[in-house]
Amino acid sequence: MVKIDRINLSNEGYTKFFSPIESQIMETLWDMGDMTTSQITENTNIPLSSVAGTLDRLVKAGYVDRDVQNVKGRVRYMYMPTSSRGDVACDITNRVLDSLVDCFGELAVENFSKYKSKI
Amino acid sequence: MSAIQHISDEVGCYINCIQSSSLTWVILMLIALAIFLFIAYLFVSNPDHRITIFASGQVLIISAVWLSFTTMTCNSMFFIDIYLIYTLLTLGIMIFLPRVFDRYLIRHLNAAPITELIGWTQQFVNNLVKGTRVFYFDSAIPKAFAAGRSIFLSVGLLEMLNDDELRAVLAHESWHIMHNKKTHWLKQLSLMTFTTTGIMKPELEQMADRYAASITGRGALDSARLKLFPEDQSTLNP
Ligand SMILES: [Zn+2]
Repeated sequence: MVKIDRINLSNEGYTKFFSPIESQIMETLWDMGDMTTSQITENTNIPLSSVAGTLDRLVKAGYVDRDVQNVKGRVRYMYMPTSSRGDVACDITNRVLDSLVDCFGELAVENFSKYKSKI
Repeated sequence: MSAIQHISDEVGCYINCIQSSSLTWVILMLIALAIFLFIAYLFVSNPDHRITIFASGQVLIISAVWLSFTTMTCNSMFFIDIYLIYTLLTLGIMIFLPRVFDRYLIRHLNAAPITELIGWTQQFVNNLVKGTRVFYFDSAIPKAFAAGRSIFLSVGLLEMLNDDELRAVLAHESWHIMHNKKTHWLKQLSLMTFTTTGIMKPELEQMADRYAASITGRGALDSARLKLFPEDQSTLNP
Protein backbone atom coordinates (compact mmCIF):
# COMPACT_ATOMS: atom_id res chain seq x y z
CA MET A 1 0.00 0.00 0.00
CA VAL A 2 1.13 3.54 -0.55
CA LYS A 3 3.01 4.51 2.57
CA ILE A 4 5.92 6.89 2.61
CA ASP A 5 8.07 4.46 4.54
CA ARG A 6 7.43 1.76 1.97
CA ILE A 7 8.30 3.74 -1.13
CA ASN A 8 11.08 1.99 -3.01
CA LEU A 9 12.54 4.28 -5.68
CA SER A 10 14.59 1.54 -7.33
CA ASN A 11 11.47 -0.46 -8.29
CA GLU A 12 9.76 -0.21 -11.69
CA GLY A 13 6.51 1.69 -12.32
CA TYR A 14 3.82 1.54 -9.69
CA THR A 15 5.73 -1.10 -7.71
CA LYS A 16 7.65 1.90 -6.38
CA PHE A 17 4.55 2.53 -4.26
CA PHE A 18 2.51 -0.70 -4.29
CA SER A 19 3.61 -4.30 -3.75
CA PRO A 20 4.02 -6.25 -7.02
CA ILE A 21 0.66 -8.01 -6.58
CA GLU A 22 -1.09 -4.79 -5.57
CA SER A 23 0.21 -2.94 -8.58
CA GLN A 24 -0.66 -5.82 -10.94
CA ILE A 25 -4.24 -5.77 -9.67
CA MET A 26 -4.46 -1.97 -9.88
CA GLU A 27 -3.04 -1.91 -13.43
CA THR A 28 -5.52 -4.61 -14.52
CA LEU A 29 -8.46 -2.73 -13.01
CA TRP A 30 -7.32 0.56 -14.60
CA ASP A 31 -6.87 -1.09 -17.99
CA MET A 32 -10.00 -3.21 -18.11
CA GLY A 33 -12.51 -1.56 -15.76
CA ASP A 34 -14.87 -3.39 -13.39
CA MET A 35 -14.03 -7.04 -12.78
CA THR A 36 -15.04 -10.07 -10.73
CA THR A 37 -12.55 -11.91 -8.51
CA SER A 38 -12.16 -14.75 -11.02
CA GLN A 39 -11.56 -12.25 -13.87
CA ILE A 40 -8.83 -10.65 -11.75
CA THR A 41 -7.12 -14.00 -11.08
CA GLU A 42 -7.35 -14.92 -14.78
CA ASN A 43 -6.01 -11.60 -16.03
CA THR A 44 -3.20 -11.28 -13.50
CA ASN A 45 -2.34 -14.99 -13.45
CA ILE A 46 -1.97 -14.79 -9.67
CA PRO A 47 -3.59 -17.58 -7.63
CA LEU A 48 -6.67 -16.72 -5.58
CA SER A 49 -4.84 -17.47 -2.32
CA SER A 50 -2.57 -14.47 -2.97
CA VAL A 51 -5.17 -12.23 -4.65
CA ALA A 52 -7.86 -12.53 -1.95
CA GLY A 53 -5.90 -10.99 0.93
CA THR A 54 -4.47 -8.28 -1.33
CA LEU A 55 -7.96 -7.33 -2.54
CA ASP A 56 -9.15 -7.06 1.08
CA ARG A 57 -6.22 -4.72 1.80
CA LEU A 58 -6.78 -2.58 -1.32
CA VAL A 59 -10.46 -2.19 -0.37
CA LYS A 60 -9.55 -1.28 3.22
CA ALA A 61 -7.02 1.28 2.01
CA GLY A 62 -9.64 2.81 -0.26
CA TYR A 63 -7.96 2.26 -3.65
CA VAL A 64 -10.60 -0.27 -4.72
CA ASP A 65 -14.32 -0.53 -4.11
CA ARG A 66 -16.44 -3.68 -4.39
CA ASP A 67 -20.11 -4.73 -4.53
CA VAL A 68 -21.54 -8.08 -3.53
CA GLN A 69 -23.85 -9.40 -6.26
CA ASN A 70 -26.05 -12.45 -6.63
CA VAL A 71 -26.29 -13.32 -10.31
CA LYS A 72 -28.59 -16.31 -10.94
CA GLY A 73 -27.81 -17.82 -7.54
CA ARG A 74 -24.04 -17.30 -7.80
CA VAL A 75 -22.57 -14.86 -5.30
CA ARG A 76 -19.71 -12.72 -6.55
CA TYR A 77 -17.75 -9.57 -5.89
CA MET A 78 -17.51 -6.86 -8.52
CA TYR A 79 -14.39 -4.71 -8.14
CA MET A 80 -13.81 -1.19 -9.38
CA PRO A 81 -10.93 1.23 -8.84
CA THR A 82 -11.98 4.23 -6.73
CA SER A 83 -9.55 6.58 -8.38
CA SER A 84 -7.86 6.84 -11.77
CA ARG A 85 -4.16 6.32 -12.46
CA GLY A 86 -3.80 10.12 -12.50
CA ASP A 87 -5.50 10.56 -9.13
CA VAL A 88 -3.24 7.98 -7.53
CA ALA A 89 -0.17 9.63 -9.14
CA CYS A 90 -1.35 12.97 -7.73
CA ASP A 91 -1.90 11.47 -4.28
CA ILE A 92 1.53 9.85 -4.22
CA THR A 93 3.24 13.02 -5.49
CA ASN A 94 1.55 15.11 -2.78
CA ARG A 95 2.60 12.74 -0.04
CA VAL A 96 6.20 12.58 -1.21
CA LEU A 97 6.42 16.37 -1.67
CA ASP A 98 4.80 16.98 1.73
CA SER A 99 7.42 14.86 3.41
CA LEU A 100 10.24 16.58 1.49
CA VAL A 101 8.96 20.08 2.36
CA ASP A 102 8.50 19.03 5.98
CA CYS A 103 12.11 17.95 6.02
CA PHE A 104 13.92 20.53 3.85
CA GLY A 105 11.48 23.50 3.73
CA GLU A 106 12.59 26.36 1.43
CA LEU A 107 15.38 24.30 -0.05
CA ALA A 108 12.98 21.65 -1.32
CA VAL A 109 10.66 24.23 -2.89
CA GLU A 110 13.60 25.95 -4.67
CA ASN A 111 14.55 22.61 -6.19
CA PHE A 112 10.98 21.84 -7.35
CA SER A 113 10.88 25.07 -9.38
CA LYS A 114 13.84 23.83 -11.44
CA TYR A 115 11.67 20.96 -12.71
CA LYS A 116 9.10 23.30 -14.30
CA SER A 117 11.55 24.23 -17.03
CA LYS A 118 12.54 20.57 -17.54
CA ILE A 119 9.01 19.35 -18.43
CA MET B 1 9.63 -18.00 57.85
CA SER B 2 10.77 -17.61 54.24
CA ALA B 3 8.37 -18.17 51.33
CA ILE B 4 10.27 -21.21 50.10
CA GLN B 5 10.19 -22.73 53.58
CA HIS B 6 6.45 -22.06 53.70
CA ILE B 7 5.78 -23.71 50.32
CA SER B 8 7.88 -26.78 51.10
CA ASP B 9 6.09 -27.16 54.44
CA GLU B 10 2.74 -27.03 52.67
CA VAL B 11 3.74 -29.58 50.02
CA GLY B 12 5.25 -31.78 52.73
CA CYS B 13 1.95 -31.71 54.59
CA TYR B 14 0.06 -32.69 51.40
CA ILE B 15 2.35 -35.71 50.93
CA ASN B 16 1.97 -36.68 54.57
CA CYS B 17 -1.82 -36.45 54.39
CA ILE B 18 -2.01 -38.60 51.24
CA GLN B 19 0.41 -41.19 52.61
CA SER B 20 -1.45 -41.59 55.87
CA SER B 21 -4.87 -41.69 54.21
CA SER B 22 -6.77 -44.95 53.86
CA LEU B 23 -7.76 -43.82 50.39
CA THR B 24 -4.20 -43.84 49.07
CA TRP B 25 -4.64 -47.09 47.14
CA VAL B 26 -7.89 -45.76 45.51
CA ILE B 27 -6.04 -42.64 44.38
CA LEU B 28 -3.17 -44.73 43.02
CA MET B 29 -5.60 -47.00 41.17
CA LEU B 30 -7.35 -44.02 39.57
CA ILE B 31 -3.99 -42.67 38.39
CA ALA B 32 -2.92 -46.08 37.07
CA LEU B 33 -6.22 -46.46 35.20
CA ALA B 34 -5.83 -42.96 33.73
CA ILE B 35 -2.32 -43.78 32.52
CA PHE B 36 -3.66 -47.00 30.97
CA LEU B 37 -6.34 -44.97 29.11
CA PHE B 38 -3.80 -42.43 27.87
CA ILE B 39 -1.68 -45.28 26.48
CA ALA B 40 -4.76 -46.88 24.89
CA TYR B 41 -5.58 -43.50 23.33
CA LEU B 42 -2.33 -43.66 21.35
CA PHE B 43 -3.35 -46.93 19.70
CA VAL B 44 -6.99 -46.20 18.83
CA SER B 45 -7.85 -44.55 15.51
CA ASN B 46 -11.64 -44.13 15.65
CA PRO B 47 -12.24 -40.43 16.51
CA ASP B 48 -15.28 -41.09 18.77
CA HIS B 49 -13.34 -43.67 20.79
CA ARG B 50 -10.28 -41.44 20.97
CA ILE B 51 -12.30 -38.58 22.45
CA THR B 52 -14.12 -40.85 24.92
CA ILE B 53 -10.91 -42.50 26.08
CA PHE B 54 -8.98 -39.25 26.46
CA ALA B 55 -11.82 -37.47 28.26
CA SER B 56 -12.29 -40.46 30.61
CA GLY B 57 -8.60 -40.36 31.44
CA GLN B 58 -8.89 -36.66 32.24
CA VAL B 59 -11.94 -37.29 34.46
CA LEU B 60 -10.00 -39.99 36.35
CA ILE B 61 -7.10 -37.61 36.94
CA ILE B 62 -9.45 -34.91 38.22
CA SER B 63 -11.18 -37.48 40.48
CA ALA B 64 -7.81 -38.53 41.88
CA VAL B 65 -6.91 -34.89 42.57
CA TRP B 66 -10.30 -34.23 44.16
CA LEU B 67 -10.05 -37.37 46.33
CA SER B 68 -6.60 -36.25 47.48
CA PHE B 69 -8.04 -32.88 48.49
CA THR B 70 -10.66 -34.51 50.69
CA THR B 71 -8.03 -36.44 52.63
CA MET B 72 -6.00 -33.35 53.46
CA THR B 73 -6.16 -31.57 56.77
CA CYS B 74 -3.28 -29.13 56.39
CA ASN B 75 -3.57 -25.67 57.97
CA SER B 76 -2.48 -23.83 54.86
CA MET B 77 -3.84 -25.08 51.56
CA PHE B 78 -2.67 -22.26 49.33
CA PHE B 79 -2.15 -24.36 46.15
CA ILE B 80 -5.51 -26.03 46.49
CA ASP B 81 -7.27 -22.71 46.94
CA ILE B 82 -5.54 -21.39 43.82
CA TYR B 83 -6.59 -24.46 41.83
CA LEU B 84 -10.20 -24.15 43.01
CA ILE B 85 -10.32 -20.48 42.04
CA TYR B 86 -8.76 -21.33 38.66
CA THR B 87 -11.37 -24.07 38.05
CA LEU B 88 -14.29 -21.82 38.96
CA LEU B 89 -12.88 -18.97 36.88
CA THR B 90 -12.37 -21.09 33.74
CA LEU B 91 -15.79 -22.70 34.25
CA GLY B 92 -17.39 -19.26 34.41
CA ILE B 93 -15.57 -18.14 31.28
CA MET B 94 -16.45 -21.35 29.40
CA ILE B 95 -20.14 -20.89 30.20
CA PHE B 96 -20.23 -17.14 29.66
CA LEU B 97 -18.03 -16.73 26.58
CA PRO B 98 -20.01 -18.74 23.97
CA ARG B 99 -23.12 -16.73 24.80
CA VAL B 100 -21.54 -13.43 23.85
CA PHE B 101 -18.83 -14.47 21.40
CA ASP B 102 -21.07 -14.74 18.32
CA ARG B 103 -22.60 -11.36 19.11
CA TYR B 104 -19.11 -9.90 19.35
CA LEU B 105 -18.18 -11.48 16.00
CA ILE B 106 -21.29 -10.14 14.27
CA ARG B 107 -20.29 -6.63 15.28
CA HIS B 108 -16.56 -7.09 14.73
CA LEU B 109 -16.94 -8.59 11.23
CA ASN B 110 -19.88 -6.34 10.38
CA ALA B 111 -21.69 -9.56 9.43
CA ALA B 112 -25.15 -9.57 7.85
CA PRO B 113 -27.83 -12.30 7.73
CA ILE B 114 -27.23 -14.55 4.75
CA THR B 115 -30.92 -14.44 3.86
CA GLU B 116 -30.16 -11.06 2.29
CA LEU B 117 -27.90 -12.85 -0.19
CA ILE B 118 -28.86 -16.53 -0.64
CA GLY B 119 -31.95 -17.64 1.26
CA TRP B 120 -31.69 -21.42 0.82
CA THR B 121 -28.55 -21.70 2.99
CA GLN B 122 -30.43 -20.56 6.12
CA GLN B 123 -33.23 -23.03 5.37
CA PHE B 124 -30.73 -25.85 4.82
CA VAL B 125 -29.04 -25.19 8.19
CA ASN B 126 -32.38 -24.93 10.03
CA ASN B 127 -33.26 -28.42 8.78
CA LEU B 128 -30.08 -29.75 10.40
CA VAL B 129 -29.94 -27.73 13.63
CA LYS B 130 -32.72 -25.46 14.86
CA GLY B 131 -32.17 -21.94 16.10
CA THR B 132 -28.91 -21.41 14.23
CA ARG B 133 -28.37 -18.26 12.21
CA VAL B 134 -26.11 -18.00 9.17
CA PHE B 135 -24.20 -14.78 8.51
CA TYR B 136 -21.92 -13.57 5.75
CA PHE B 137 -19.13 -11.03 6.08
CA ASP B 138 -17.07 -8.88 3.75
CA SER B 139 -13.81 -10.62 2.88
CA ALA B 140 -12.42 -12.15 -0.30
CA ILE B 141 -10.50 -14.75 1.72
CA PRO B 142 -12.54 -17.99 1.78
CA LYS B 143 -13.46 -18.72 5.40
CA ALA B 144 -16.19 -20.54 7.34
CA PHE B 145 -16.56 -21.03 11.08
CA ALA B 146 -19.14 -21.58 13.80
CA ALA B 147 -19.40 -19.64 17.07
CA GLY B 148 -22.14 -19.91 19.69
CA ARG B 149 -25.29 -20.54 17.68
CA SER B 150 -24.13 -18.77 14.53
CA ILE B 151 -22.32 -19.80 11.36
CA PHE B 152 -20.13 -17.25 9.59
CA LEU B 153 -19.20 -17.42 5.88
CA SER B 154 -17.03 -14.98 3.98
CA VAL B 155 -18.15 -13.70 0.57
CA GLY B 156 -14.91 -15.21 -0.76
CA LEU B 157 -16.14 -18.64 0.31
CA LEU B 158 -19.55 -18.09 -1.31
CA GLU B 159 -17.81 -17.02 -4.53
CA MET B 160 -15.62 -20.09 -4.61
CA LEU B 161 -17.95 -22.98 -3.84
CA ASN B 162 -20.81 -24.43 -5.87
CA ASP B 163 -24.09 -25.25 -4.11
CA ASP B 164 -23.16 -28.85 -3.27
CA GLU B 165 -19.80 -27.85 -1.81
CA LEU B 166 -21.47 -25.05 0.16
CA ARG B 167 -23.96 -27.58 1.59
CA ALA B 168 -21.02 -29.75 2.72
CA VAL B 169 -19.37 -26.79 4.51
CA LEU B 170 -22.69 -25.77 6.10
CA ALA B 171 -23.30 -29.35 7.33
CA HIS B 172 -19.75 -29.45 8.78
CA GLU B 173 -20.29 -26.17 10.67
CA SER B 174 -23.77 -27.32 11.78
CA TRP B 175 -22.15 -30.36 13.41
CA HIS B 176 -19.94 -28.02 15.43
CA ILE B 177 -23.04 -26.14 16.63
CA MET B 178 -24.87 -29.39 17.52
CA HIS B 179 -21.86 -30.47 19.61
CA ASN B 180 -21.07 -27.07 21.11
CA LYS B 181 -21.85 -28.15 24.67
CA LYS B 182 -19.77 -31.33 24.50
CA THR B 183 -16.88 -29.43 22.94
CA HIS B 184 -17.02 -26.90 25.77
CA TRP B 185 -16.84 -29.65 28.39
CA LEU B 186 -13.85 -31.18 26.60
CA LYS B 187 -12.17 -27.77 26.73
CA GLN B 188 -13.05 -27.43 30.41
CA LEU B 189 -11.48 -30.84 31.15
CA SER B 190 -8.34 -29.81 29.26
CA LEU B 191 -8.11 -26.57 31.24
CA MET B 192 -8.51 -28.44 34.52
CA THR B 193 -5.83 -30.99 33.63
CA PHE B 194 -3.53 -28.40 32.01
CA THR B 195 -3.48 -30.13 28.61
CA THR B 196 -3.88 -27.90 25.55
CA THR B 197 -7.49 -27.17 24.65
CA GLY B 198 -6.81 -27.96 20.99
CA ILE B 199 -5.78 -31.54 21.70
CA MET B 200 -9.11 -33.00 20.53
CA LYS B 201 -9.41 -30.74 17.49
CA PRO B 202 -8.38 -33.20 14.75
CA GLU B 203 -10.88 -35.75 16.08
CA LEU B 204 -13.67 -33.18 16.25
CA GLU B 205 -12.92 -32.05 12.69
CA GLN B 206 -12.96 -35.64 11.47
CA MET B 207 -16.36 -36.20 13.08
CA ALA B 208 -17.75 -32.97 11.60
CA ASP B 209 -16.48 -34.07 8.18
CA ARG B 210 -18.00 -37.52 8.56
CA TYR B 211 -21.35 -35.94 9.40
CA ALA B 212 -21.09 -33.57 6.41
CA ALA B 213 -20.30 -36.51 4.12
CA SER B 214 -23.36 -38.36 5.42
CA ILE B 215 -25.56 -35.38 4.49
CA THR B 216 -24.09 -34.30 1.14
CA GLY B 217 -21.94 -37.24 0.03
CA ARG B 218 -18.18 -37.59 0.20
CA GLY B 219 -17.71 -36.07 -3.28
CA ALA B 220 -19.08 -32.63 -2.38
CA LEU B 221 -17.05 -32.54 0.85
CA ASP B 222 -13.82 -33.58 -0.84
CA SER B 223 -14.14 -31.07 -3.66
CA ALA B 224 -14.91 -28.30 -1.13
CA ARG B 225 -11.79 -29.33 0.81
CA LEU B 226 -9.71 -29.36 -2.34
CA LYS B 227 -10.81 -25.80 -3.17
CA LEU B 228 -10.34 -24.48 0.37
CA PHE B 229 -7.05 -26.19 1.17
CA PRO B 230 -5.37 -26.95 -2.17
CA GLU B 231 -1.87 -26.95 -0.68
CA ASP B 232 -2.46 -29.53 2.02
CA GLN B 233 -5.13 -32.20 1.94
CA SER B 234 -3.95 -34.02 5.04
CA THR B 235 -4.50 -31.24 7.58
CA LEU B 236 -8.00 -30.81 8.85
CA ASN B 237 -9.33 -27.36 9.36
CA PRO B 238 -12.30 -25.59 11.00
ZN1 LIG C 1 -14.62 -27.72 11.69
